This record gives sequence, C-alpha cells and structure tokens, in this order.
Amino acid sequence: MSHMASPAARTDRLGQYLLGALLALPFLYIAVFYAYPIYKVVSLSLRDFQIAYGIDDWIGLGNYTELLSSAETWRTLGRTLLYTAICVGVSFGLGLGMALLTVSLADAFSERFGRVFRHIAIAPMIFIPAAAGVMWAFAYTEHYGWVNHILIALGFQAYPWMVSDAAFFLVMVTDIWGWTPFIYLILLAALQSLPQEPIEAARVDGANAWQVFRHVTFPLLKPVIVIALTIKTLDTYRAFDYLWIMTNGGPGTSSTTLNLATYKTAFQNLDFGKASALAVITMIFPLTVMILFLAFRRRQAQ
Amino acid sequence: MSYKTLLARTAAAAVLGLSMIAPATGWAEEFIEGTFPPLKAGKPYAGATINVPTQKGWASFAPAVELTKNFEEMTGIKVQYDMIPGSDIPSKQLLAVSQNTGTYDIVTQHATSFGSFFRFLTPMTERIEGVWGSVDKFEDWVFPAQKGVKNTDGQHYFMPFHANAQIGYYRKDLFENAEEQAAFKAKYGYDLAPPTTIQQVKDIAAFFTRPDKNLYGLTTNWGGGQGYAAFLGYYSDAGFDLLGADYKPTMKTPEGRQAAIDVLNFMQGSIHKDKIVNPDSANFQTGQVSDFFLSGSSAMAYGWLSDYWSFMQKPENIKQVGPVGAFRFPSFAGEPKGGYSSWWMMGIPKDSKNPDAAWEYIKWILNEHPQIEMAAGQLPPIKDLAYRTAVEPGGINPRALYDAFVEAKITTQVPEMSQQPRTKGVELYTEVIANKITPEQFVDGYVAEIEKTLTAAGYIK
Repeated sequence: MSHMASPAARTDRLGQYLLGALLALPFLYIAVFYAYPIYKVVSLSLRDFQIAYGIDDWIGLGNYTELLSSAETWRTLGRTLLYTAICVGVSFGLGLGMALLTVSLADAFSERFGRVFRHIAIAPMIFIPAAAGVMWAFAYTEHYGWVNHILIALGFQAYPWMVSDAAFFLVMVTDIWGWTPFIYLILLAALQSLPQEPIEAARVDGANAWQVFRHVTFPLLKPVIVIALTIKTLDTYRAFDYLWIMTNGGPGTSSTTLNLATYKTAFQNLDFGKASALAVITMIFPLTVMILFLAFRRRQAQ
Repeated sequence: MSYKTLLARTAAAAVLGLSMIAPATGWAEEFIEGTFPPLKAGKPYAGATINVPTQKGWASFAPAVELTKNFEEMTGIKVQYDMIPGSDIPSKQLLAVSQNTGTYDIVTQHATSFGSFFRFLTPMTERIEGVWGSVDKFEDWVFPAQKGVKNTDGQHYFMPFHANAQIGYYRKDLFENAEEQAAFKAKYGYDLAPPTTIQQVKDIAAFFTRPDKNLYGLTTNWGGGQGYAAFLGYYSDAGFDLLGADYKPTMKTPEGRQAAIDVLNFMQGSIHKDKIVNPDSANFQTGQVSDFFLSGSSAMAYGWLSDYWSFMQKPENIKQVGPVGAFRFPSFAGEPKGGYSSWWMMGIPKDSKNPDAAWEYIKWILNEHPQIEMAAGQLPPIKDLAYRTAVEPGGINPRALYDAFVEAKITTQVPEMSQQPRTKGVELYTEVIANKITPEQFVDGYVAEIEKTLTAAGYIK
C-alpha cells in the first residue's frame, strides 16, 4: 500500500502550513518588537550599565531605589502629570467647543460656513512639531518675538518669556495649539455621525440646547470621547519634541518631564541602567491608562 | 597680502622645503610630493572606504568636505562623512566604539568630551614619531594646548585639526564716533575703546544700552551648553582650572568659589539687574549672537565669533552696523590667564576597519591646503599657520583670536566629568542665568555634583 498522499491532501497540508506560518508572524512580530525590547529595558534597569566607564554590574533594584528616593524624580513625575493634565484638559475643552461651534455654524448659516471654519481650525496640523516648536520659541523671544511686539504696542514692557518660569507653560500653550485640532477632528466626525432622531425627539419634548447636549449628545459621544482622551493622554504624557526644542527641559529642570529626563540620563549622562529604570517607571502611567480604558470598554460591552 | 597670495606662498614654501629634504631621505619615492604631514605615495590603501564622523552644519569644516575629492584622488581612499548633530557628537560615537561596531574609522571629538574615549582608541605615538621624528617635535609644531590632550599614560590618542577661542566684536561706527567718544569720556573719565577690563565691559555696555533706540550694550552666547562653556572659559581666564591636582573642584577653595561667584554675578546681573545684555542672550548660541549683532541691536558681541569674521568683512553683510572690530575679552583676574579653547581632534578607534587609511586622512586634514581653506573662521592648530592667518598683514582671522588662543587651555580630562557633572552643570547654569537661583547656589550644587561623581569613581579619596 502506498504511503504517498494524494495531491489534494498535499495541497491541504501545505495550506495548513502556510496558515500556521501566517498566524505565527504576529507572534514573531510581538516577540521581536515588543517583548524583547521590554525584556531588554527591564534587564538593563537592574544593572549599573555605564558604557563610557566600562561599568556593567548587576545591582538588582539599586537604580529604582536611588531614583525613587530622589526628590527630583518625584518633582519630574509631578511636572509630567501636570503637563499631561493641563494639555489634555484644555485641548479637550477647546476641541469639543470648536466641534460644537462648527456644527452650529453649519446649521445656522450654511455647510460652506462650517467647512471654512473647519479648515481654519485644523491649520496647526500642517506644522511638523519641530518647525512649530522653533516658530513658537521665536515668537516668545524678548527682542524679535511678535508676542512682545504686541505687548509693547499695548504699552507694556517686553518680557523674556523663555528665560523665566513661564517657559514650561508656554510649551503647554504650543502643545494645546498643535493638538487641539486632533481632538476637534475626532469629535467633529463623531458629532456629524450621531443619529439625529434622539436629538430631534429631545427638542420636540422641549429640551433647550444645553439639556440636549447634557442628556443626549454627550452620552452618545462618550465612547468616542474616551478613545480621544486615551490617545491624547498617552501622547501628551510621552511629549518630547516641543519641550526639547523650545526649552531643552529648562531653565534648569523646570520643564523636564519624565521623557526628557530619560533621554538626558541615557544620552547625555550615558547611564543606560538608570535611564532604563526611569523608562520602566515612566511606563506605569500609560499602563494604568490602558487598563482603565480596557475596563471602560468591558463595562460598555456588558 | 591677499589670501590667494598667502596661499600660494605657503604652498611654494612647503614644496621647496620638501624638495630639499627629499633627496636625502628618499621621501619623494615614499610620499606624495608637496604634502606635509606626508601622504604615502603609490595609493597603498586604494579601495578602502573610511567612515568619518563630523558635526552637522559646521561651516568651518565645510571646506574640508569640499576638498575631500582631492584626498580621494591622491590616495584612492573613499571618505564617507557621517554628519552628526552637535549635541550627539560624544554619545553617538561613544556608543559605536564601546560596542565594537566598527562603524567609524575615525573618532571626532571636542575638548570637552574626549576623555571618555581613551580606552577605545589606539595610541598615536608610533605614527607621530614616523612623521615628525619625535613626539617633542610634533608638540612643538602645534599649540601647547595639545599637551593637555594626552592620556595619563603620556601618549597622544588624538590629533588636532581645529582650534578656536571666544572673542568679542564691537561696532567701529559707534566706538569711533567723535560725539560718542566725548560723551563717554565725560561720563566715565577715560577714552572709549575696546574694553581691556571687565569694568570697562560693564561701562561700555551700560553706555550704549539705549532701549528707546532698540540698542543693547552687549549680546552674548550665554544659552544652555554654550553659556555654561562661556562661564567655564571666564573662570579659567581668571586663573582656575575646573579641577585641582587632587581632582577636587577648585570652586571649593575660597578663591575659586569667589571667582566663580564673581563671574556668575556678572552674567546674571548683566541681564536681570543692569539690563546691559539682551535677555535673549540667555538662550543664544553664537549664530544668534551674530545675527543679533548684525541687525544693529548691540554695540558689542561675545562668542565663538571668529566663525563669522570673514562674513563680517564683506560690506554687503554689515550694512546695518558698518565695520566690525575684534577684541580679546578681558579676564576677571585683571591679567588674562588663558580661557578654555575649542580644540577639535581626531583619533583612530580600536575597532576601525581601516586604521592606516584613517591615519592618511588625519595627516591630510593637517596639510596646509585644507587647513588654510578651513582657516576662515577657525585657527589652524599648527602654530606657524595660525600666526600667518591671524597676525601677519592680510591674514584672514582677527588678531584677537590668536591672542586669545596662545594662552588657551584644555579642560582637565576626567572621563566621568563629561557626563553627569556636565549635565548637572548645564542645568544649574540655566537656572542661574534665568535668575532662578543665586550664583552661590550654583557653586554649592555644582561642587557637590562633581565631588559625588569623582568620589564614586575613585578619583577623590
């Protein structure tokens, strides 16, 4: 009796192998690009690894102990959370307000009017962050910047904004300016795709504009808002470009966030062990946000 | 003497000198005629490709990049440049050589960060002796600053290719104006001229600071890392190296502490109290200083300004300020003691795939032709060439640059100083210059950081 499989069976087996290989690819991708780098960072965080001096010693939780007992680490964490909270909060408020205004303008006047407003509102998105950072840093200079030119025209004195404590908050302004259009676009798309029946019904029942928004529109928008806030929160928490370009984390460390601190520790101090520990500490907040987001989704599904 | 004449004469002198040596040594057969340091004849390394890192956007080095085709034709060696942003110059190369990646055939470093590289480089002694006959002769050929580049084993691991020092510029239209001179003398009791003391810097800057005319007395490169380097330069010119012979910070001594505080009081006070320096200087790098000065908004300027000397000699570039003069910035000690110099160097890493081809390149970059081409905006590290470009009539550099450089020093190289203490130093400095902390707080914080690092590293017992 022949042990040779029929051509159909061979094709079937080949298909299974191919399917297996295709299914293995995502696992391979996750292993190579997710799991291994995280493993590497965690293992480096347990070492005193300073290449400039040829130091590479296992020190267990030494880096974590040192970092967590340093007041500067906690100040940096607080600064990072403040930056995230203000940028996300204000961007969300402005983005939502602008989205509602766009819809109202389109309703009250014409679709064209709403479209023009939309084009103006998303204009900051055309700037790459590096260019926007340079542009805004220049705007705040004491001598050349248009911000001071306006102040002088109004009878005030020029102020060296970027050489003061205001620098950190001015980076936030730039971040809000650059990212509000993102929130705006997401919320506008959501607003425009909402079912009109519940809104119409509420109006017929005599609800005013605020009541319609509070009890109908907002609950309907909630899933999209949660997604937008999650994305924006994670992105703002990881902010680097505006901060680095506009202030280099200064003056002093007054605008140094966890990301900047990790970069400085790794690439200026060349202390990769401590930088890895800082990176692991930095990951705790995004993980918490993701867990909360998943919990929200689960509850929503139930 | 015009620049072209100077170039022609120096080339002719080199060829004549070499032709006299050649018959006795067989030089002509071994080496390419007219080159010194001599390049090997016969293209023994033809086909090799060397990877050379350099600083991105570095105007002074651009002529060397332009001329590289000459080197490639002479030697058959192909050169690939890796243009690295200035802030990444130490870390990117250190990562590569410490991990034995073989990425670079040459390491290009600055005087503030080279100490970290010694363990990864090959000593140059044999190569130097092969060209100059002895290390002493080589050291005599270049500025004394090179002696500060030696490793603790007494060997050279780096060859210099670029020297520079910070200097001041002033507007001649203001300084030579009869009315201004009379008004200045009436107010301060001495003649208006480029300053020779710090008090004169303050007086002149205060005199020319005229907010109603959009004019400041002085603009400077006191932003971030450059500002921190400027502070160290003033401190050095006051007679203090950063570290003493025992590796302890000199700012811990009463004299050193007072000198550092004096320097920082001047920097901080000039911006925030006396308002004779434009506040943007606290964020300026030299390029911005140059722009600000050329816009006519300041009477004097300070920084790595020799880079812009040639540019400022052209009438079309100085329409708003008129002729520009240069001066050596005064010392806080009264008599200049030598500030820190910019001293760029090249070394050959142990993991270089083509060390001999890399050595040919380093010799070439030290040759007269590329050095003279690069000299507009820098000082050749070779004493004779530097003298010709800055002191002899018709030179392409300001005399003040040469004067500032002759006594300039290299900061003490302890590898550990290039990282954590430097980062902390820059952070503290940016707080001082933003008026967030006092000079005393800077000194205390900086000294503590240096002591912590050098004690942990075993330098301070």
